[in-house]
Amino acid sequence: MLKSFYDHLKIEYGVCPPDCSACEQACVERRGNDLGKVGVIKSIHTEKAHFHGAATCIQCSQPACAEVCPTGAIHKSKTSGIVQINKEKCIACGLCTLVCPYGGIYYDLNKEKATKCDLCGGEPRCVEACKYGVLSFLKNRTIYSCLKEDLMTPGAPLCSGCPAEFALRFVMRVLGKDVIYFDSPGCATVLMDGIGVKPHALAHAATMQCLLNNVAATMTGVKRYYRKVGRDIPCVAFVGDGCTADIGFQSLSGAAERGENIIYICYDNEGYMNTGIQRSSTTPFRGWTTTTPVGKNRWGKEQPAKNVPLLMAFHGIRYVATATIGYLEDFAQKLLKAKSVKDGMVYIHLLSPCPTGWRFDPSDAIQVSKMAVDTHYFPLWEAESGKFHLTYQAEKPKPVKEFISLTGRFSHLREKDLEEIQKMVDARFAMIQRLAELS
Amino acid sequence: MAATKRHIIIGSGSAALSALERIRSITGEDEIKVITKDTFLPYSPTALPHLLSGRIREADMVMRDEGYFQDMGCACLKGKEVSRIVPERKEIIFGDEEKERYDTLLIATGSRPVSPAIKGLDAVGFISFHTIEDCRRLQSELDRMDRKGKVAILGAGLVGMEIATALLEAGYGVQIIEKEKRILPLYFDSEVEVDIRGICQAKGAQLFTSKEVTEARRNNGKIEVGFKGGSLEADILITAVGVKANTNLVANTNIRLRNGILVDSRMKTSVEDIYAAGDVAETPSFFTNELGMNPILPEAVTQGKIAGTNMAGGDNNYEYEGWIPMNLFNFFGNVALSVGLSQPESNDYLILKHHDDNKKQFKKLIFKGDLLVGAVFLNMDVSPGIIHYLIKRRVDVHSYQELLLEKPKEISYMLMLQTERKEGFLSRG
Repeated sequence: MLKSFYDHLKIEYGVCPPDCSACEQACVERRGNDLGKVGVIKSIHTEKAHFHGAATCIQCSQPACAEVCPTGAIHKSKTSGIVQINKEKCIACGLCTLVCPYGGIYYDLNKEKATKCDLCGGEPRCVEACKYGVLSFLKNRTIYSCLKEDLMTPGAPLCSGCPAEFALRFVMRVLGKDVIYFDSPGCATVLMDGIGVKPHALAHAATMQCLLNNVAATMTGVKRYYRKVGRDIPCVAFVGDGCTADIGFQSLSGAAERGENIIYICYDNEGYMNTGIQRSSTTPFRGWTTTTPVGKNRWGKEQPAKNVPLLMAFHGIRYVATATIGYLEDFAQKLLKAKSVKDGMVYIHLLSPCPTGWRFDPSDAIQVSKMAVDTHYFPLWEAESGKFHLTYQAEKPKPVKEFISLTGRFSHLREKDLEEIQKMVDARFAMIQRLAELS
Repeated sequence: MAATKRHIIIGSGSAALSALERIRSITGEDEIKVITKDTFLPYSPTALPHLLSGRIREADMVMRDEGYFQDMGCACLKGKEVSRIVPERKEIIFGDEEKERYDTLLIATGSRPVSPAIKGLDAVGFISFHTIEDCRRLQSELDRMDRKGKVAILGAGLVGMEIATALLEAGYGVQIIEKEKRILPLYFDSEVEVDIRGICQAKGAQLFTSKEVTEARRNNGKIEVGFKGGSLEADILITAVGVKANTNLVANTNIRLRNGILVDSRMKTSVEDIYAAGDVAETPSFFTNELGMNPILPEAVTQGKIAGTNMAGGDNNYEYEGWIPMNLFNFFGNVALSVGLSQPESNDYLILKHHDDNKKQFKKLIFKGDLLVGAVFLNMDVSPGIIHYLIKRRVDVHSYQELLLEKPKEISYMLMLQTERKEGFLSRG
């Protein structure tokens, strides 16, 4: 069963600067006279023990305060997750303050009622007031509230640490069951159609395997058939970069030009990884593959990667987006937008770092994904009917070297190559930025 | 899949409800039935004094609302009394000989007030304040009473003092009679008692301590309460001299019993598949491991949770660690708090305290070895739950004893945080 997840206030414990009480002051100010001049976040300082921190309610999943309340005045909201006090029912017995181990609920002497943090209804003032990054407000609710049943069996016959498995599982949990999923020969085929494993399908959803060169065309036919019989069935492709950027590009470009109402997701691991790490047209400049070797005569791939998402956006289709599993909230929102499009085509380009082909530790896929975004190697953006918009911007972008150094496929690079790649990355990012400005 | 079980809970107080919620959170399929002799929705006696003070209305007092039992997928038989249990056949039998079968049974029948053995008491008519009916009766007697009339309360424990506070807030004259030397004798020592007494007296409470009541009689329509060396007159007499476990139900079974039903650390009685929790159960003390009664709401909730978990076959390691006395007395804008051992008698303890007469503030900490074992506070800005946590989790406070007295709020928070980050919930954040 799905657990509920909510937006929540995160406190870095015990790292406040001495004598700062900005959070508590902001809280007192917001609550004003109506609620008594009492802050429900407390700044806690003691010089002698060298301790400086902030304390407030952590909105427990099974709040002890609610369990003990003799009038049932406290309950945890199922929609917001906020532990709330019904003032009409509160008798100020103080039992809640006796059982809360975190110091998150208080007895208000002036009002003779219990009182606690209500997250300011979703925009906590204390977080705005905190200048030291101790407090942050995490909004995971969109992701988790849209997650449906997990349609895939546990485990996957892929290389360990492969994020494509996680990504497909996530896509299915967001888009749901009443969808037809399309794939073509590649890593994800094993997941969807279960080749070589029993039971045959790992995904408990309607799937259809196409050829590498006709995914978008097949989807067109299926989608149109269902339209004709009066049913609106979302058709979703989850295919690799070889199929998308090389072999099936003609069919994809055709469907885009016609404006077919399909959702086409390309998981881009920047090579033909399933067949043994050969170059594709999205393999990056200087990247090592078995067909772009590194040695005396060759120095990785000679050409820059084909910028497929941009090409798709220039088709002028309804919705184009880039995404990674490093920023799931962003990915979830893009999938939800994609599902809502009923009058045109959707293309999502998902970066899918390949531990085997890119040569990194299987536990690092998320870190690599995040770094790709944070260095502008893979900017997160969307284009709605040609209007561009950056959906995430790192406050301080890191040099691309930090991304490059995470993977073994670039281990041969020299300073000169890095400079060249940095220039390419900067130019590509500037182009997206400019397009966003123009929109 | 295992066959579904049938759980029966007798009672609808705090222990019963927390057991029910636990069972439901572990199993969605098992059948659960709550049987209560109450005809009212579940409520707690803790809330009753505040009906008198007018702080809440009767409708706001219920712990769970109308749709609750249905939402929990649980049948609730109201106004039904179980007359006996037949463990051999796993059956409970109602007054009308109707039967009900169980797989697991929870006895959470709570407690009732002790009627003091005082000459003439029954004849004068008194109110023992424990149910909503008692409360309604008192309210109607108060309404009939002359505004200059007085209420006498027998017993200056927490319940007696809370009724007194509520009546004083509502503007009635109140006299409190206590046989011990001090009010709230179990929780507060003489030093802080002076302050509490002073504040109550300033609000009009008349306190008669060291007065063991010997008789009660009617005199010209008034009630005369006699004690050694004197007597007092009142219009209404309320008794609040403690509670006694409702154990009648198990009288003719093999379930072991002392002052309450004896249970093990999983709240199981001496008979298989029968559990007990809350005021009816007799459990070991957290500090001494000796069996005893500590009928307070937070312990009832914890015991209910443990009983429910074990009944549903949940976490087998969830065991009861023993009760910790804890009391919080809110009176006229003051807060007196006592957690753990408040007045130990042996010399094994280190006691640190500080009294500020002007601000009516008091703090006292009791340590045994490296551990905090008790605390008493009056009007201090401190989180009671964190103090409770430090005691219950046996947090090593060795190097912070003096500082903890000086800055109880800050140091207790810091120690809680350090412990949690090492092993608890906050470490995940």
